[in-house]
Amino acid sequence: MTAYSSKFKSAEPSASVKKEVRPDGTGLYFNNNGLFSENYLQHRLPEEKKDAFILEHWETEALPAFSECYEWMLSTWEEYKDILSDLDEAQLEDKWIRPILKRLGWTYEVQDRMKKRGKTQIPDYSLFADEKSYIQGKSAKTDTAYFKHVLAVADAKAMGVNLDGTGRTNSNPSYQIIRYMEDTGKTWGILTDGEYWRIYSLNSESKFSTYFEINIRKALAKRDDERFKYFFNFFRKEAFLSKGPSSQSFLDVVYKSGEQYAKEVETQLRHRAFRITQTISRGFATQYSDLTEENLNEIYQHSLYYLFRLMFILNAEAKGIFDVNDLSDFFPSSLRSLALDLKKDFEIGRKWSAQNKSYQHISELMALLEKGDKSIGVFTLGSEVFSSGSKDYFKRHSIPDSALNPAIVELACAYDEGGDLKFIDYKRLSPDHLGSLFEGLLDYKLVRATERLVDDGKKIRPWKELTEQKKLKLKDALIEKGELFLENGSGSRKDTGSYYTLSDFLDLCQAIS
Amino acid sequence: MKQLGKILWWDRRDKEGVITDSQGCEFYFNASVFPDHARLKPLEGRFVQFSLNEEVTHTKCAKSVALVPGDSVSKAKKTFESSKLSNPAESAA
Repeated sequence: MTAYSSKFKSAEPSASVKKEVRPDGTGLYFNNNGLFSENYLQHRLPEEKKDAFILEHWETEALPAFSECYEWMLSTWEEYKDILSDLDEAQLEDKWIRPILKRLGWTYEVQDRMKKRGKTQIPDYSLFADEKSYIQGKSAKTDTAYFKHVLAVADAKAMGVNLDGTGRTNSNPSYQIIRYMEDTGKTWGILTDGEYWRIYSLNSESKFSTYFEINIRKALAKRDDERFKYFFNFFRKEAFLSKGPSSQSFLDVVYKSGEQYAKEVETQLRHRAFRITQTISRGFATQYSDLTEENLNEIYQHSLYYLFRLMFILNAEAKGIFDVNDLSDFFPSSLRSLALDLKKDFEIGRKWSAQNKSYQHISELMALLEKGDKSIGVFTLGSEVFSSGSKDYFKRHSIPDSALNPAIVELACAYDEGGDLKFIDYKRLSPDHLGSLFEGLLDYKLVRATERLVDDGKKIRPWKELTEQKKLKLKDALIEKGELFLENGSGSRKDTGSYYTLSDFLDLCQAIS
Repeated sequence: MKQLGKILWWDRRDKEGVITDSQGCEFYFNASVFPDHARLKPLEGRFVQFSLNEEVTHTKCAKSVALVPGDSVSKAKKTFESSKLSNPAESAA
């Protein structure tokens, strides 16, 4: 991920990459529910050319086990697919799940019993790297010693059982697998109903609802090795084995990439949020005939609220709270849909006018989310959601497309390492990540330049102080006399909490996480 | 313009799927453009008529998806197979 630049860069994907994404840009052949970095899954893994560790875990051409597993699954699925959902859990495990575990390289024990907190826990499968560790485990004297030899635990359900149950009891499969992982001290666990295969991690903040999932039906509809790799490479034994000097498994490495991605995005967004707020403020300011200090405060306050709302919606849409795949229903009203169009405009260098079409779109979207509309699958968020600031303010004012559109692109997208403009994976950002972005903005105030100034990346300084060479270098950062910009303030807002919407924001994000 | 396709897979939980045309091109679609989705199970291999959703350009999407009526399935099958044959390179792939 590289720093955002307003200059146009080619966003053409590399020719070798097959685009298998939904309209919202998420991968179609895996469902990454916040566990890993979406960009890493979609691009880094299939495009990696140098990293020996990744290549070893991703390239399957020379692996007989890959073809053997895929061919067995293709032929067995073809033969049994119409009856698998009629089998009970034990029958499904016998005909389908256990043969797959074996072909993924696992040695396993079934229904190990262990006492924890006065209850007997019985994970369906304790997964071992090989027979040797299985035998070593079996000779262990205690549960703790036994599970030290286990790489991961797995649980199986009958096909069609909802893996996202409700409540914190063992009747909720996602709760159950996390309990098994916690009780056995295993970081990684597998949960499956034979069709949907999930990986969970204890490292994740929202561990019950964060997972990586494959619907095997998709990869078995026709032979396509690239699609099947997302199953085989993630669920096979080798993905869980720690290796190399850093003693990390493939899953650890991919998980860390997601953590790294979230941190990088947060850092980038922290820098950009400053610029985006400045752009939004300038947009609102175009409708003021007089910019008194009171007006500037009002503009800045409402610009922060506006940014807050945009980020909340991007987060909610990315998490699937609102179905941005819904092509004919919610999708046209979504922020994702607007951002997609603006991204396209940006990539071809289209100029935006002083009309306020995007502002109108977002105002209507906010009204829709407040009220809800069952006919298009949108539940109401209630009137509290967008209650910060004066409602009247957002009705009386607007932001021209020329100011708002670049701000939306900058907020929704970032350039990846290959120079491609990609949507930021907001679902990978936790409420803490998003909340910290706001904190950085609380120390600023909106002021009008009384002379030509420049933002040299460290501080705002008079333009006239620059050498000619520096002026040439920093001409894009010039702030003209009379133009609005953000200046580091005293931090009084943070102290008084007068603009502070962080806790509201976090509550909202937690509610949807 | 309506095209003829076959459902490659349908995800019952997420209510989304992929249609393949006789040339092997694949089109994403979901329940919102496929009111028939609850009518028959399984949906894989069923012939459908659909239009290209031109509003989405970064990935191929279908809209106005409808199952080919029972009495027209054999005709649809013939049409689908003959278009496949008229493009031998694709059929071979």
